[in-house]
Amino acid sequence: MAIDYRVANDNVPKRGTSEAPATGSFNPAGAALRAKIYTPKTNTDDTVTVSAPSTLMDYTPVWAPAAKSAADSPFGFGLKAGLTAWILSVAGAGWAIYAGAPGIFHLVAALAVMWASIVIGYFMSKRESRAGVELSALSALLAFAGTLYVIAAHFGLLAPPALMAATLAGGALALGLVLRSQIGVRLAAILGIAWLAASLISGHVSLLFWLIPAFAGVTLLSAASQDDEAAFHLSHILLYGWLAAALALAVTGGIVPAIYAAALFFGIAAAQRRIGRLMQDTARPMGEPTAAWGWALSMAALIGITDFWLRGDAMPWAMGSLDPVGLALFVGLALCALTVILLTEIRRVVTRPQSPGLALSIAIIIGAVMFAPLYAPALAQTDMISLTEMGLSTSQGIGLLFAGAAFALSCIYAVNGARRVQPLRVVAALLALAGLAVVALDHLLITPEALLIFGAAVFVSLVTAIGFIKPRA
Amino acid sequence: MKTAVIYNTPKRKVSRGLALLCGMLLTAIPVGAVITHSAKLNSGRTIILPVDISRTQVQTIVPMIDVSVFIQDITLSGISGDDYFSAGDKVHVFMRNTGGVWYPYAVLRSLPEGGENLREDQIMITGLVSAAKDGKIKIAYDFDRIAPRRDFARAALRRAGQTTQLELVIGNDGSAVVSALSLDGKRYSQRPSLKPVLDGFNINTAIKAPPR
Repeated sequence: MAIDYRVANDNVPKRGTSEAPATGSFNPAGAALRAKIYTPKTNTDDTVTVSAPSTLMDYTPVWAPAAKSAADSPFGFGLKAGLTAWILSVAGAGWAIYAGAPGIFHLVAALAVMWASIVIGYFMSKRESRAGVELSALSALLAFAGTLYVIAAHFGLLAPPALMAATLAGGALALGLVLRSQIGVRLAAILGIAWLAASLISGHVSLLFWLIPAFAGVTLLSAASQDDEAAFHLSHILLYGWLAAALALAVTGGIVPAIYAAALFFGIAAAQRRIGRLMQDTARPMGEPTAAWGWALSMAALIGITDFWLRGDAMPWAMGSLDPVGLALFVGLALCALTVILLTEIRRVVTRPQSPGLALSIAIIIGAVMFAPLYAPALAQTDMISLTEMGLSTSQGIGLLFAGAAFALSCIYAVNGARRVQPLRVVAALLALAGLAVVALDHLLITPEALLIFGAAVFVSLVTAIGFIKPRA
Repeated sequence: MKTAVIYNTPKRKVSRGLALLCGMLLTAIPVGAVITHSAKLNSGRTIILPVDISRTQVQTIVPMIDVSVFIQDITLSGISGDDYFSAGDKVHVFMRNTGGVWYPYAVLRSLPEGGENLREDQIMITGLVSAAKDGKIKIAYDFDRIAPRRDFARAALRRAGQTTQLELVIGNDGSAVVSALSLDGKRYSQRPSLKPVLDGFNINTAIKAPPR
């Protein structure tokens, strides 16, 4: 076996059944010469044309089109029927509106447009026409919205705004999932945000509000499966918007004080950050945005927690009582988040690789930040002589430590963002630093000792973080 | 040997069964809503309540009116039943008919055993407490905001100080569905017309043709 180097020109990619005997028209773009394995005999039965010693030059078109069948034609019967049905149903809907026909005509016309759009989407997907699928999904969603309009305007069935938004969002998600449409999933996330807003405006929390996280989870997963970053971000806004709203309701309802809500938010976001890092290790899609969202949200919560320690007697941090239900809720959710973090870090012992001690220490540090508020009343009553001499309370001292850690983490994030030329990371880090300045700057300037505590925290955090960054050899 | 990946787009093939299922699900939502609405209209008991139209919106995509009904604001001291409610609580308002006039006589947070079995002259409407203060509760019902026929909304907007009546169909579970609105004696039906008959078409026209 040898390569015939005289005709070696293998730059043209081989696609599909290109080396099958050409039965269609000749494609000059594909008439490239390919290097052939030299074999002294000719095998006419093989699909690969093998060059005989006397015929080294083989002009078989590489991209010769396959034989066309009726089913493979750009506009097969199904697609033609779908398009015809779509045109007829749109015309029917137009006539129903123009003639002022009874509501039943409008409903049937809207449903016909929706079905025709789904049929078109199905056949477009068979032809792998992305634009066709997206347009048909959009058309089906508009037709579905049209049916909701018809039952409201013609049948008097006026649903509350939250229910209307939820129904539309569900329809968009169903179309996005089934037709694999990016527009469908993106609109589902946007309508989900409208659903959340309508639920909050309605004044009372209904069952619909509690369905949002499940919906957001499905939207998130379908966005990840379609590799659609825009839908992924929108789903995050919905999911964490719901989480913030639910925690705010728990705070205003007196179930948990604000600091515990902030600690839970921090724990959940930190868990997402660790999962994102694991996804990055294993080169899974959406690892980068998952980790980025986790960092931004956990940092926002950490700044809030820092504010609590620095000025715990101010609103909204004034400590309320944590009733048994609230305590059970807080401890249960916090332990869930910690378990996820621990399992993720143990998995990273293999994927990164990192030492088991390092994996454990990350969970311990996050757990300490989350559970520290439980001991806040006891710590507030503790007079540490060394801090009192500096004119600081124990809580303020802890707050300065948190501020130093947050400052160091933001600086590292900004540097890494600049190093990897990721402007959004730099912007997020700068925003975190700005937020930290608003919260902690006046406390830093109380005494030189306060600045010293802050500086020590920054130094220790930097050294620790660098230790975490450096993987085991 | 290293293989170069040329196209790395996600698979976009659609399952025929899933597409059918999706279409049927999206069809079932509006059709099911219309059927349920029609079933409710045909199964409950009809009452008529005097209402005030507090707001009329004609320029919106769907014309809407907000109505004020006397059973929206109830003073608990002057009525039987539970005395303590908080916002978000479910409330069952029991009404009695005396000489064609319906008035509330009891409010309960939860129904007792067999509480839905009422006499001919009694009905029960279920609502949601939207505010509770100083022994008074404000109740939100399903019929607080109505999507009336556009001609009703226009007529309501034109004439101020008119007598407006709300015709409700009350189900055994306390659900209330608007079956008609009356404005100065003129009745505007809210029942969905499922007969596919266009204005101007009359199948009796041929019969009424003069004999030759």
